[in-house]
Amino acid sequence: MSRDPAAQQPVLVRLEIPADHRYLNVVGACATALLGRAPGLKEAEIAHYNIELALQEACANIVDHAYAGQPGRIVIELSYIEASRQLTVDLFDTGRPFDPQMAGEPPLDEPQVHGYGLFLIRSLMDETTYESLPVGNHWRLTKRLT
Amino acid sequence: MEIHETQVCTAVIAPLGRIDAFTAPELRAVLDRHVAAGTIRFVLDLAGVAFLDSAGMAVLVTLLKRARTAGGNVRLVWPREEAARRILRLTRFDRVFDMADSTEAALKGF
Repeated sequence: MSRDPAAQQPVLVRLEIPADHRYLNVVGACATALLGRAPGLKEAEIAHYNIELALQEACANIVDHAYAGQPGRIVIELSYIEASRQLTVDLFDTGRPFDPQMAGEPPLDEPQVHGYGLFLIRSLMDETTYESLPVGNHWRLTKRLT
Repeated sequence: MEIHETQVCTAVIAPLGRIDAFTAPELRAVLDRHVAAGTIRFVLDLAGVAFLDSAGMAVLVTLLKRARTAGGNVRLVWPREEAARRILRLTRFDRVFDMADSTEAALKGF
């Protein structure tokens, strides 16, 4: 672990995008660019892809379920601590609350049309938490990179 | 003499780039066109697919169900991108679909 004091401080990047499938690739590109300057990640391309996919799924869930086709905004805060190689992504929306009934694991031995989104987020990130806000939702995705 | 002729077509579809929630409807429209024309055998060549999310996966599964219901099948060619290959294994798409290393291999024995 780095002893450089600057490496202990989180690097914060804040994005706000329209809740529209068209713009979701911006989030993954931002995370990839942020991590692209982080030194010494193993299998960096795999790590970048997995984080991009998890963020894509999280944002698509917000578009499809929280806003359900209605216009809205998604605020994404990326925080990376170089010393611990920990990426934390907070996503905020003002849409409908998350329905835990959607949270079941898909039976993977049968082809499923729906249900892979949350499964992918949970599989690819170390920790995924959800908090219902007075207005909207807060998701936190955490990944310790190696 | 009577000659009965039947032509069985296999559609080979090779999308390039990202298949995500924004672009998946475009792929779905192409596949729908083939299904409407009576095609039941598909090779989806994913070699050039750099990114595939769950919306793209839903398009593939929907096609698989329709094709198999009609007596056909869908075979997938592995993406070149290793990260994308790992996701297909994670979601067990490699067990649900018949996988191949190339379009030629996928077409063999169809």
